[in-house]
Amino acid sequence: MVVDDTPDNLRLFSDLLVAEGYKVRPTPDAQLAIKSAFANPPDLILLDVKMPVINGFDVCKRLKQDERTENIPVIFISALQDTEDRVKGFECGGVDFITKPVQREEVIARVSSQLELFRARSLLEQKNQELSKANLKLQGLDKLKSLFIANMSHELRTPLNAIIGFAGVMLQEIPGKVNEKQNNYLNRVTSAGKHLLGLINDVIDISKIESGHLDVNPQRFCLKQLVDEAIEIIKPQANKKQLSIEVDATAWPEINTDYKRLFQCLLNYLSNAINFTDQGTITIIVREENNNLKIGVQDTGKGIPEAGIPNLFQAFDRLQAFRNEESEGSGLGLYLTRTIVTGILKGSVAVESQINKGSTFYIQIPKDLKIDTHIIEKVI
Amino acid sequence: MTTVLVIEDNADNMEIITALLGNAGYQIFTAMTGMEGLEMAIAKRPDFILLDILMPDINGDEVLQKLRATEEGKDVPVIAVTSCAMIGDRARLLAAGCNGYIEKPIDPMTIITQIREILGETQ
Repeated sequence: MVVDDTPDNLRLFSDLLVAEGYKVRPTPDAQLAIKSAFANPPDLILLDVKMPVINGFDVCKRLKQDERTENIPVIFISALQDTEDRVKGFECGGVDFITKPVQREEVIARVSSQLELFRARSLLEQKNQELSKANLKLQGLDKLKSLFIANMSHELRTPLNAIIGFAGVMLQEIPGKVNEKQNNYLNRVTSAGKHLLGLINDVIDISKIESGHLDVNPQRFCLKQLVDEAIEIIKPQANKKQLSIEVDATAWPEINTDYKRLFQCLLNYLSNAINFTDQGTITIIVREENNNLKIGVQDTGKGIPEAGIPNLFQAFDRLQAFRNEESEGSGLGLYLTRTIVTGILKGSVAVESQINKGSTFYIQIPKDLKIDTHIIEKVI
Repeated sequence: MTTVLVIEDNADNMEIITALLGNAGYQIFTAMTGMEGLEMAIAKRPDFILLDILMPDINGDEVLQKLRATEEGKDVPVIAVTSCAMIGDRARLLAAGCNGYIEKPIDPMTIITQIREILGETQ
């Protein structure tokens, strides 16, 4: 659309643009221009500044206030060289200026570049909207998935009550005598059931963390208490393999973090260390580094080949099978530990290993866990 | 003979728990719903109660609350049996008047010891 109250100018612009293949709507009057733009919005408007009754700036303001026309690029046509006037034009929402007397090439170049810009911007906006819609949908689906797993896993535990429970009742020979073979089989049912239970519990924890349904409960306590409790629980497992457990601590700081979750991670490292070590010592290392706390679990096991280390903290890492064929692990332990440490305790995990010498798994966390919101960031 | 009331809606769990308790020499009353359990607790006056927390009619929390409000049930030791091993659950149950809790799935090898420990602490 070309708006100009001077018939000669109107004709000049129209002819020029028609020759370039544009469809032109010449409009000699400001009022008419506004009405026409509302009724049938054009792709671009060339707007004369100096017009009687309503000037170009006011026309532009009116167009920018209406959602039918707010996005149409407006190029002002002006005889004025005045910079103040140009500023005013841009303030009204204009995108460019053409000064009279006009150059044919300049008009064409400015019109086509503004049209191209406008199309590119519209396309970008449309794509952005599509993307954010798709992103929202994905986030919802991801949450739904985690919730589904959490609920499903809960249901999976119920039949396990019966499997572990009845096997236990029979093992205690409550319904009647059990022969040696039957005893052996029942023990295997029990340990398979418990293995499955551990796996389900890990999955529940992971999905709760990922769907943001796990509460964080920081509390103040002395680290020694936590380490002692973990040793007490893991001791029978270590004794079975005749492994000793030692502690190498340079300090026993009081810390403020989630006791239960840190305990769970340490226990997991310890349990792994015992599983993958046939002889020697498991050492719990405690170091204080400024505001951080570093806890390491060192074993004298067979070590991990360098190529396997990057995948170690992934879910269901097959390397665990390599490390020990009779591994008791669920394949989720290290993944869960990393998820808890990074997602809840706001720290990091690491591992050092030497073949045939052993491995050391680390947890590094802030001594003072601050939670600003109840929303837990999604990890991974 | 020590008497125990087991309130548990799942038939499998009920049978497992009664087999283990019977084997340990307890005399057992059973109730398959929360409401029935509440009535039995008042009528039979057991020495202690094993209470499932997740039940369809009225859940364990409510049974406990109602029980504690009665003359017959205000002092009887109650052990909660719960599979919702969430943080805060334990504190909530203990605050509601539970004497202890056992996690589900119950470990058939250690449940009797767990019960004795909890009862020992309360006596």
